[in-house]
Amino acid sequence: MSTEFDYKELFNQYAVEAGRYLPRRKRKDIQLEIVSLLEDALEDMSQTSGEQVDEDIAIEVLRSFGPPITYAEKYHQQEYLVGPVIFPLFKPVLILGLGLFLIQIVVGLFLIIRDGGFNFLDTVDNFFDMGFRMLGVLVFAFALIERTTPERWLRWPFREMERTWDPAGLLVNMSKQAVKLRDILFEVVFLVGFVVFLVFFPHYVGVGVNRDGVWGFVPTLSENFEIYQLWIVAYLLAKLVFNIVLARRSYWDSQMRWFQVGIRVLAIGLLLWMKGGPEMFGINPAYLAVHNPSASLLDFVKGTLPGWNTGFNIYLIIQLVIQVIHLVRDLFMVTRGKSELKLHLK
Amino acid sequence: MTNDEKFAELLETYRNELRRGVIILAVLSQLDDAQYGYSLIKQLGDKGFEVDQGTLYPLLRRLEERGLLESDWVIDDSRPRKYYRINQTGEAVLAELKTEWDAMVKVLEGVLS
Repeated sequence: MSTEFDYKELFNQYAVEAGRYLPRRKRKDIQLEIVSLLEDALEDMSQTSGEQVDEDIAIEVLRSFGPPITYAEKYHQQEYLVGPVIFPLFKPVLILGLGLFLIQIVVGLFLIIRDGGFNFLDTVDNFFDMGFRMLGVLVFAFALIERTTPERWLRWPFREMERTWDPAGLLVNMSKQAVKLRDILFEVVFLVGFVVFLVFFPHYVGVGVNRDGVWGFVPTLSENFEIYQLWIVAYLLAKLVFNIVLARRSYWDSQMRWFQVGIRVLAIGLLLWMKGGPEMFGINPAYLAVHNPSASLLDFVKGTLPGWNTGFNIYLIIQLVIQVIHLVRDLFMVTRGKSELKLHLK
Repeated sequence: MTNDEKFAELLETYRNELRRGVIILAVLSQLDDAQYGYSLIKQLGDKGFEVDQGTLYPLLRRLEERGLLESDWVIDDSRPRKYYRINQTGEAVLAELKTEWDAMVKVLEGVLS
């Protein structure tokens, strides 16, 4: 084990974890104090044992403080509707609810705009009404559960955590926040290539076939593609910017996670629009105005078009499901606050 | 849960409640000179009054919020530490609590004998 072990990072990570459950008003100050106290305990333990400070001693100190959540709980007093005992359960349920609410807003907006009945004030009023009702029901339900369930039942997960918690897990968390540059580089190259292709070479999407001994090619992106093109490219560029910024920062923080949430919402909106909008594949009249493919070639390509559109629709649905799942996960990560902690005295 | 375990849990609960009542008195009495959390734990421990760190540190903050203590961040050995010291209100409360404690001990000695 190295004697140059960076226990400060580990202690900061502990303070970050504890910070999620600390009162917001004094969070930074308490976190700073926790780190200071951990350092005192470390120094004392090292002197008592006569050993140099290393990872084992640092972890032993953390073990003596206990899991961050139970340590942070001691800074709370009974002044809340949903307390720290039940809050860890309340939070993911709330995030899931908010995620579903967000999807409902996107789908609702899409349907309202499609059916032509869009009224800004009514729409905002409805969404606020739904949002507050959901929030109210959740808070009420959890406050009721907290006040009617025996504490030993509610505390069961904490007891289990105290039994099984391993401070070494914080080391894994520290490495998880780092960005995988190789993945980002791969995605950046792909995005640049895709943008260039969509902007300059979309006419290469099509069907090439040999009819009567002659090779022919007919593009299959319809004139409708031009409606979507700008937005698809905008989405890809946003992803590109996101990846570049992330690579420059080299770690995840809450800003980057919110950035990602924004991109996901954009993707979901785009996918919904393409799913409900005009079909992407068809014979472009602009192509026919310039080229003169043989009738048999044209008939053959037209015969494949329903397959193109069906396949694309299935792809859109699969992508929608994936994006929604990722959006819920991202929202969960945002609120879990995996961010770096900058401790300093004012 | 066996009866022995129930008894041990019950005893632990009451023991904690009993200590919780006097811990404020013990802490206030040690803060004439400024102390940071860990040094206070050691000092109390040296005098035979063991306090769990998870109990003491939040308690110091609560006492500060209630206006009995004052605190300052100080850089010691290039490390920031939060020092707590009793203030005038704290001293007045401590004096009252000491009187109350003396009276309580006398009463309880009579009750328990």
